[in-house]
Amino acid sequence: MEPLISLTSVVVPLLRDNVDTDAIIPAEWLRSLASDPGEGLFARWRYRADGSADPEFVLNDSRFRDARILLTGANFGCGSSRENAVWALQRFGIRCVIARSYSDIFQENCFKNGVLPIIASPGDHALLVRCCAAEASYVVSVDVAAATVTTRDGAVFTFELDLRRSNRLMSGSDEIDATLALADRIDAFRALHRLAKPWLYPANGDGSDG
Amino acid sequence: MAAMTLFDRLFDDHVIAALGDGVSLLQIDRHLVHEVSSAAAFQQLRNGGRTVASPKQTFATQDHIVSTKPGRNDTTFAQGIEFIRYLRGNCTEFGITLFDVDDAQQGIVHVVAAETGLALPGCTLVCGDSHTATLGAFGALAWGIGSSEVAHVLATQTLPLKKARPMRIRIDGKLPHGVTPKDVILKVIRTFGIAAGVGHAVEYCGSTIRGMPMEGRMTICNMSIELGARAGFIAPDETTFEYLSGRTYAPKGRAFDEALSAWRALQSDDDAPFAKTLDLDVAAMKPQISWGTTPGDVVDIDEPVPDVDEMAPERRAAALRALSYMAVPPGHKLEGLPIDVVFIGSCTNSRLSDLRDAAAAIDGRKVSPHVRAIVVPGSTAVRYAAEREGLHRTFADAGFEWREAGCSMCVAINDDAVPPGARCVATSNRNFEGRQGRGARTHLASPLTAVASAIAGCIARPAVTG
Ligand code: SF4
Repeated sequence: MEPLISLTSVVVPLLRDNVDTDAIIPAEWLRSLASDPGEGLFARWRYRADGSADPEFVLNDSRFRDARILLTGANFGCGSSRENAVWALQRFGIRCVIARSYSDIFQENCFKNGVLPIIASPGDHALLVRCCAAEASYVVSVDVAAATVTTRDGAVFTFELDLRRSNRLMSGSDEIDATLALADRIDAFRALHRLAKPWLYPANGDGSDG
Repeated sequence: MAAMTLFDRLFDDHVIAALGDGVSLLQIDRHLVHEVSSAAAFQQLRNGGRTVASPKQTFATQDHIVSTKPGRNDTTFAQGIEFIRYLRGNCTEFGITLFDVDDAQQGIVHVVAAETGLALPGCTLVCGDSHTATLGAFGALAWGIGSSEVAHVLATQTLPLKKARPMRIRIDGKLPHGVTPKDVILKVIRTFGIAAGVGHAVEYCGSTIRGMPMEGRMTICNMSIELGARAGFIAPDETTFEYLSGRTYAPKGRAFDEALSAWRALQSDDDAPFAKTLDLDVAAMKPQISWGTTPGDVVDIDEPVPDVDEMAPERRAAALRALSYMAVPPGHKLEGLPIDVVFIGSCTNSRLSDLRDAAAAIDGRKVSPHVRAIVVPGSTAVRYAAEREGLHRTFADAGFEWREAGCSMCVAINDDAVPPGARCVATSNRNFEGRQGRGARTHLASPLTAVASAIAGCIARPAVTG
């Protein structure tokens, strides 16, 4: 995972609530292991029925081609658990989302992939929305260690980010390795758990614990 | 000892280590995988040079992309081949039990996990599909995960998880005729909102829930994610134990009795502290149907869709957008709106009881000639059982297509899709823009409402409603 320490980028505004993962990447983009999820990002809104780019859709605005920060509304990423939604954002270049709130699974999927999902307070969110409305290529900076967003006008707001997550984002370290390092504790737990609840450990694949 | 919720009991019983910041490393007792979301996870596992930690606690099925066309095989839907064969190869290599395309135990992962007795009270169960909470109906802690988490569970049989806040929804009252568990959960979501459960684990209780068979309880827990919650569950009781007795992977004989005494303790204490409690009385409720593009956009079947003029400005824009996508004029009734497709299936409503209720509701009538109506059993076992009862003939005689088991038109990842602009009454769980195919207009409802609508050729209430 590519570490994420800080980021300065123009902000793409997608000001809708309840943007679901079917909208972020529709099911037909999940049909091949080889396809580029970045191309499927917001496909239903980004492309017209004939496959051409819809100039009305914000992501097709050339000013946002290299954007790395997405600004959106409440409950972003609700619906299906498909991690492809995060991969699509990431492959497009987005490393940070700023929203009012997220679905739990989507938020978790972001952290697993080095994408920072920031929850902005109503006031901070409104400020960013105003800034982006006033100026189409509005730039902000995000600092992971300090957990701050700094606007071009110098306004600074903080967001919540626990130490565990910020360390993982900044180091890009592998969570599976971290868990495997606890192998002794896992084995000890399982030995006791198995004695207490043998029916949860099917040895013969038929519900008997032989 | 301090009073505990059932959620505390389920969670705390699986904590291997505290990882800081409220995150615990949890033991996973059951891992269910399907061909689509597991593919990237197996790739990740292989790239890391790792292996499957506990293949005997891992079970796989082919459901999402596999064709549901009668007589289907690996190649019926060409783009599915890659996923189907990759899962098969992975299961063989790592020693995972697979309910394959032609297996009698194949089917939608959450339907299969219940009917084979894999989901047990008190277990932690995960799957790379957001409707895994379905299995919370057994008093299990069951939740949906992303592909990276699937890889983590494959490699370690554990998962780091931040403890959610416990929430309780009490549902009381006897269900009126024509009102089903599907209507109840739609009403819950409509009443409390699609984000009511975010950050929470929901325990459903109350007399309505106690009176429901396991199938109905699964329908309730299934849509916890539409309420924003990753996990929803119900304390196990005699109904649960009776359902489990004799199932393939449930404990047998002495082991079952031993398990039973542990399962009976899986309750919330009377004075257990919940972060949030909600109550709903369903005694006078009507069948529900969705009008918009989120699962909270729901009305009574005979009620007009919301009047946008009365909405707060921030709600109005979204509602207008939804109504325009759905081609429903503001303030109009849904009843009587012509439809093109009816889909009876999905992990919400595809179990034998759903199909029995749907078949009975046909009552000798025929599907309207301009409607394509399909019935997709939740599992091959459900299909066989239904065929033994002759339900497939009842459906076929009425003009319904009778298909093979799978997710089908719920997710439209194979060729079971609703055509652009077509209107569909579906028993599934999501009505997002394009969920059932580009431009598809989905109305979520119960199997009874779906049958009534198929026959009427337009949105219609179940015949038995007063
Ligand atoms: S039927 Fe739909 S919701 Fe259920 S597992 Fe399949 S895709 Fe997911």
